[in-house]
Amino acid sequence: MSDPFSLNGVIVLSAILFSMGALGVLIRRNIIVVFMSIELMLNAANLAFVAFSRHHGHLNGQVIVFFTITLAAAEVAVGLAVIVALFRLRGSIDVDRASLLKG
Amino acid sequence: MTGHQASDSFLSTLPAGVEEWSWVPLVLIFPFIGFVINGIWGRRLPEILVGTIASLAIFLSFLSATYLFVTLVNLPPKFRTVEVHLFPWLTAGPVPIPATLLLDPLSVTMALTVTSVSFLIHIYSIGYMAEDPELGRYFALLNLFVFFMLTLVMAGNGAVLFIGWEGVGFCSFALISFWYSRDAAAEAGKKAFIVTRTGDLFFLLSLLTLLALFGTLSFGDISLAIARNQPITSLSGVREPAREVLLHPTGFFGADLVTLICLGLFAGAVGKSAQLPLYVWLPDAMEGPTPVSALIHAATMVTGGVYLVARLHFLFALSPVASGVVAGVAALTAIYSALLACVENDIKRVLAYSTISQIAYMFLGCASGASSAGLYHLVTHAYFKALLFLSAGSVLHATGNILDMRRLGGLARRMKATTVSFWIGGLALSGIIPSGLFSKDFILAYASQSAWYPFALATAFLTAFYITRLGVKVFHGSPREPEIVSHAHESPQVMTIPMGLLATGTIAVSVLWLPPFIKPFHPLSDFLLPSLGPTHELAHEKEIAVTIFSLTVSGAGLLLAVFVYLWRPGLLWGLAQRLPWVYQLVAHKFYVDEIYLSLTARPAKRASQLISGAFDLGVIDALVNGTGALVAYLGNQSRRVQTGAVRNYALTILFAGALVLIFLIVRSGRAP
Repeated sequence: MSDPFSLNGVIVLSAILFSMGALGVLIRRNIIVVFMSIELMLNAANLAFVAFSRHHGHLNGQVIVFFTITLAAAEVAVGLAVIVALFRLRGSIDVDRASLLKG
Repeated sequence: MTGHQASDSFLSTLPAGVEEWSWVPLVLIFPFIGFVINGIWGRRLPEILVGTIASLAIFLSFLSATYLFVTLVNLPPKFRTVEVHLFPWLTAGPVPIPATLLLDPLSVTMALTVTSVSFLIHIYSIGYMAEDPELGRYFALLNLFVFFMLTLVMAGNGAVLFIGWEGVGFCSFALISFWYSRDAAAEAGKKAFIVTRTGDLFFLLSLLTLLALFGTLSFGDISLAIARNQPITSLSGVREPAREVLLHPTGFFGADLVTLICLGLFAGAVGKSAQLPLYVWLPDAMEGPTPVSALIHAATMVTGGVYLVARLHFLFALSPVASGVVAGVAALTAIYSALLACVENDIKRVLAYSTISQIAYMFLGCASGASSAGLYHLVTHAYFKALLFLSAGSVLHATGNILDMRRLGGLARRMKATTVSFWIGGLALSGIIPSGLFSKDFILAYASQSAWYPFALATAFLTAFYITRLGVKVFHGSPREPEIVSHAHESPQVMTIPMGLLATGTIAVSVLWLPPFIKPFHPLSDFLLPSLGPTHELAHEKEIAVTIFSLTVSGAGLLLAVFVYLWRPGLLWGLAQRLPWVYQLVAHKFYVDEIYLSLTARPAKRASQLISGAFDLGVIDALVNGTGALVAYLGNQSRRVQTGAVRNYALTILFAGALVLIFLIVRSGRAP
């Protein structure tokens, strides 16, 4: 094994990161943390892309990662604005209290 | 375009492809072009142009008809019937129905009458309707009306005739309710349409029966088949000679087939020509503009029924029963509507009842075996009735639409031309001066053998009475409301000149058929001979007797009216108060409108209420509202899914993502 970053190892790491992110989204009530967890999931996916890109030996995966990073940046901008607006409206950043859409 | 080949003496034609016959459709095309121009650009064209175009269209049509007439006259009588094929129109299985026109003395006579009278009415309309904002629509419809009437009279087969028949029905509807913003006008238009449609249903049934029997609707072919007694297929599928099939008794009270067919045709004619019991629409039709009334009464529409009976006289000749019914209905209608005219106070309605009564005369003539006498009266009536209506229109124009004759009087001093026109028309109508004198006396003479003669004679008396009453009340005596009369003025020349021409025409058409004791001169009946068959000669003494008798009777009616309305006004009022029930009965028009309402309109209304209550609310609305309620219920149930908790949604997304992933993995495992 000349390659210190074996594909399997990196994919497993990506899966672990993604699961942590998903757990964070589901469990945490603080909306900032939830937000960070989402970022974690995005970057787990980025990691998998890069790994596969390296494994297959062409750049498509890495190109996608650049798109994802851009998208994440945009998401942060919009998401933080939403959070600020939510805080102004409800005075809290608890996701469980943001239940206006209850049918 | 080809002349139709048939060699029998009854229907003889020129060889195919003769150049003259390309003129035939022109008679129809000109009014149609007028309709299209005024229908599309009528709003934008200057007013004077609109009326000019419409009148010009009819005038060109009149010229074409004249040309056709001259062409026909120059042919030997047995070649004067031409069927012109325009184009193949409908094909029902093995039965082709081409669009054909029939050019024969009858259709040319009708076309000439229609176009000449219509032309004068169009000119008159330019003056009468001058201030109307919707001149384009008016003249477009007027042209269309003439177009359909010409289609009706020139039709070569029943299908084309039916198009014309329904077309005039539609145009009368549209023109009677021309001022549609007035309720009465809208109602009257509806009434005219629905009542005539009632008769049309039976008319259509008869046409379809003829089609089933003969396999053609061509008048020429049908008359030929009957004349030659050709084998045709009866309704039960047996091939037998035509007359046997037609005279075969049916299950319907044992009446023979041809009787039923004729009665159906006559029912259509009764509706269109406003005879008992379907006359109710015509008096209401007075809601339309006065020139329209003149057109409906004189040239178009109501004479269609008489034309139909005359055109199909060979069918009626086979059925004495049907002819008897025609005569009976005609006689009763004549006297009934003349009675109503005697008590009506609305100027135009008096004329309307008078038309009903005169049309009945024409039917009586046709049913008495003298179709050409009926046609003669149709022609003369077209002139003098148009003249009467235009005079009435002139009175309305002068007085600001005052229809009630009780408010008028003494107009003669201010409107000389109108008064003279009215009296020429009125005296012709009464049968005191030609041409009404001659045409009415021919009918009376031919009907003198029938049991209905007394009715016809009594009608002549009443006719003279009511028209004199109308004339005396409107034009003579002292003005009842002087401020109306003092504002009255003679109508412009564009109206009085057509009246003068019609008055001239009224007198002039009398030369078409002179009584034999004056001079045995009868070009009209000779001309119509190939179409209508011969009419038997009347004995001179008999004709003189009838003429003297009817003149006496009409004169008596006239004098009586002058006596009770001009010299002794008030006499009649006393009589009416002494016999209140008679007066009430006649004044309410024998309660016929009320009876019809309670027999037709009211049950229909009640049925509608039932349907709107039980069916519409109970079934239709329940279905519609039920669908809505079901959707609302389902929505209520399913909205619980939306918890509003962000983490629930996240979990759902995660699970769904996981499921997709599992699905992809499983599938890629299976794939080779």
